[in-house]
Amino acid sequence: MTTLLGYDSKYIVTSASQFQTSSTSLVDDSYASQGFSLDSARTVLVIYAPHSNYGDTEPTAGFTAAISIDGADHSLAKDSGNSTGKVVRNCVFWVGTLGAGSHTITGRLAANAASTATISNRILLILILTGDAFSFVENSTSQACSQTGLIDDSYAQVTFTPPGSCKALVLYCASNDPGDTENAYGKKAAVNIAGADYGQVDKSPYGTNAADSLFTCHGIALTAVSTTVKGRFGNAANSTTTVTVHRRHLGVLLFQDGTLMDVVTSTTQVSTTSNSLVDDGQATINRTTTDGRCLLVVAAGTKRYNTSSSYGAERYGIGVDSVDQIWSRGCGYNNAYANSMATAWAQSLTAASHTVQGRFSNNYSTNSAKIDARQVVALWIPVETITYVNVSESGTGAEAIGVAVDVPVSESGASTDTVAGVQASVDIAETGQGSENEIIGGAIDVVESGIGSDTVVDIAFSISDSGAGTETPILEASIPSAESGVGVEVPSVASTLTVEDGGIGTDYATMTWTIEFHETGVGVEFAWRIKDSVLLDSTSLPHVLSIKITDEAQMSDKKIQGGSLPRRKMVGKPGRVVEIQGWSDSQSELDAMDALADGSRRTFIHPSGDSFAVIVTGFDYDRTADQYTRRDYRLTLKETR
Amino acid sequence: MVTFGGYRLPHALQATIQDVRIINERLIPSASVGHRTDETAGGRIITVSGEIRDDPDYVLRLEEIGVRADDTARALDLEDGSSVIKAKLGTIVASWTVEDGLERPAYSATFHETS
Repeated sequence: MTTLLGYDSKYIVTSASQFQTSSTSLVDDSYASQGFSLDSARTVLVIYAPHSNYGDTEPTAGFTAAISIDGADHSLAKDSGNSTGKVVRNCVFWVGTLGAGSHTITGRLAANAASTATISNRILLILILTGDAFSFVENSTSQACSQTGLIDDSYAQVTFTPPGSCKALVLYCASNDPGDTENAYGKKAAVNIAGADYGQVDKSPYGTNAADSLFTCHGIALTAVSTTVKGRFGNAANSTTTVTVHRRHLGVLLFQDGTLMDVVTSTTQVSTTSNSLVDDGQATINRTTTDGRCLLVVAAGTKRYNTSSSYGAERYGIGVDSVDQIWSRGCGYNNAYANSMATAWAQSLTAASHTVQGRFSNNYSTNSAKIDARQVVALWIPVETITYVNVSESGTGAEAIGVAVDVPVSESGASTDTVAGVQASVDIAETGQGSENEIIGGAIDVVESGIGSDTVVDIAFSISDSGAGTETPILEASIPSAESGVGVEVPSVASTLTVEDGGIGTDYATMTWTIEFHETGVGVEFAWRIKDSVLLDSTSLPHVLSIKITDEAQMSDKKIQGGSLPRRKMVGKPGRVVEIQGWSDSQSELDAMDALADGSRRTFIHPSGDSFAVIVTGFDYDRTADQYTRRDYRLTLKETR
Repeated sequence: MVTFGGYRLPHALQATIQDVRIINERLIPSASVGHRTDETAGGRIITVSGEIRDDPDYVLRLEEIGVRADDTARALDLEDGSSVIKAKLGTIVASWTVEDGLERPAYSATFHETS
């Protein structure tokens, strides 16, 4: 644990397709799998949250969820609902290091009894991170609790020292297997960070000794001080009747301190009879970002024991900028028993004002749904960008300088996606000889087969579209150029927009270019001669204090009767007039300058090196008795051919 | 900022506007008030003063201004909320002092409004 975590990339797999299995051994969730390739080792956070809907076919024993990492199952959790609602859910996660190469991560499911279990919705969230500052433990040793209050989960504890100030995300999932001693009151769970408990969630099983899983989370700022994080659990009714944790996993992820964090921990009850998601008025996060960030939201809503709602129970979800992104459903033993559900979401957001909103509803008709407490953690992770490549070039020869960035995006879900993935700039200061090749090359390849609109904005891309719906690809590029040096500039923009469309729906492709060229160096040439001296021919003017050059233009007016503006024409320029003021303490210098006013054509050389032909038309100097050691002079020159 | 034909004059500090109208005036014998009529607009003459600040390419900056004194009418925008006018650039004055140094010349440019 030496380097804090930063954002690299992500994969979000969501699907509302129904998947069923009667296998009591884990099988792949056909709608929750993602393959990807890594160029180098990365820390990977995976969150898998499947659930069934009200009325789905479900064994009373519920189902098991797990995560397959390259074929190895991790992070099992088992849950059950009640016979009326049959809403069962799990939220499991995994954190680990994956090496360079190809990987496959899959959601895994099993029925807790040999009858059909159903999954109707899920999210498989894969967040790929730089750095290695994380801890993760998973354990399947059974531990019982027969006392009131929370006790330490002996198998879910980590102690670490962060490498620096950071934002910590703590995740904890605990469940019992069917047949373990589990009172129908069910369990409560929380995380304990440096001695303080956070984020208590509660859940009751289908019945006595049925499966019961819990997921909770918390976010907290930490410094480089040794810190212990524990999972904690107890009886949801604060009873001394026994509850069990058989399987648990605990994760701690330490993000770079530049990560922005918002945490909602309200324990104020909200209720609704709506079957559609409504705002949880206790869970609103408003944040204005000033740069592009990856938003990661983990949310859990819970109803405590002895809060009465309907059997159909609750749904809790996450809305971002007024769009419902994801949700989960759950129910427990009885309408007055504990219930909770959790899910997670991630998306890239541009700099703007954003709102993350906890959302909730019932699961059926006009049933009553209540949320007693919620835990919402929003992390706004900086998107690591290569802002520039420093190039300092003063030698001869050709240079080829470039930055290559690849952002693969695979999107199969509904709703609108905005990919603003690559932002690059190349600043080059070049004063040497030879030619330079300065290139910014960008490409976004989008393969889109789902419903909904997709918007891609960047430098260059190609689209292969076989799905329904309208696509609006936009290519926006600008090359502002400020050029003040000599030489020839040939700026150009080359682009190709290729659309291969075999799907239904109307497609429009447009390409519009605007080239604005402001050339400010028209016909400017200089005869660079001797610098930093004011010369008339070879005579250096002494102690020059000021130089004023007037380039007068003679304008002719032709008035127009009736109030219109006149027509004006420049009839010519008589030539520049140079007025120089200075001083000298030498009479011989003054005499020498006076002798220049002889009508001869001479060359005036400005300290910049600029020069032109002049005649001296006036020279005068002070003859004041008390200033004979410093005699001010004035010299007037007029440009001539 | 002051722009002339899209070119931004460097560090413009002051704009002096001289607006003239041509008035016909005839005396009427023994009358206390003569005959006066507004004949036409004289066209504004606008002098923009500014300076080039600490720029080793100060000569180039002055040339950038100077090449626009080419009898071509361009859009002059004082960017002070007033309307953009059409004008030609006339006289240009550049001056250096030892106090400000060679790379910080002051300049003034005179624009003549035209139809």
